[in-house]
Amino acid sequence: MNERELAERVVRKLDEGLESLPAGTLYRLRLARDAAVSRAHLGTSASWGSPGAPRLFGRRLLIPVFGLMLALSLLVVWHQQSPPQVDYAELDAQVLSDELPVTAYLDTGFEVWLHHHAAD
Amino acid sequence: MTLWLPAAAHAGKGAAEERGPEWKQLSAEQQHILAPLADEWPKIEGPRRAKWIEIAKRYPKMTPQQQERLQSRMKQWASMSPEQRAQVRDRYKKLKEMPPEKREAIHRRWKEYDALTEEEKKSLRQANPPRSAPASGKL
Repeated sequence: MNERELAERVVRKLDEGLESLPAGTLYRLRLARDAAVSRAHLGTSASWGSPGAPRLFGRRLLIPVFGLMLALSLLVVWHQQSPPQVDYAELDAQVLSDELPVTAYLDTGFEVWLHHHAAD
Repeated sequence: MTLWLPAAAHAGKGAAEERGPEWKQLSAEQQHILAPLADEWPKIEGPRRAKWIEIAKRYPKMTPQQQERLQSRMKQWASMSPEQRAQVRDRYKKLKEMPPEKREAIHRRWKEYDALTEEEKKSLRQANPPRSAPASGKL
């Protein structure tokens, strides 16, 4: 006996069993089957979220997430277009036009000189 | 999903915009103010070009003495490392926070130090610099 013949025998036996079921039981089984098929249809139509969940639920979640990501992207773009170097313009203009030359801040000899005269 | 947007927008701006204006694109006034940087300009990256243009905007409001100082130090400033510039900015801010008499004292000490011979300055540079962080009266 091959696999197909076995399957046919199983189906035949089940059908024979069905015929002997009471009419009330058959009716309840049909109702349960219809309900299961309806749920399955709902599940496939709601492609976002869990099976059976309304489609709107998925959209509710997607819109704020999309908005947040868009806001983050715009923030990064704005940051790239406003480099921090420009923020130094005012400070650098002051440093470069000040009475004390730039070399004074980097000269270790001047640092030692100030240290020697700190107590004066 | 949209995370690629900044990269795409960034790339879309184009290399020319990234590099900032070329020297020829500056106005005559900007070229006059930033003249000490003319040779360095091609090597200066975009954000720093924008900064120099901002500095040039402040130039007309400065006194003639400040203008002269600014122009005489531009080239040196542009050739310094980012770390050196950060160190100068940091120390300058500390100096500005000091009382006027202490700032005056430091200016006076600089004039004294500047008047030393190169040998004397070299000798001081070779001495161990003070360990303590710059405090009041010191840079």
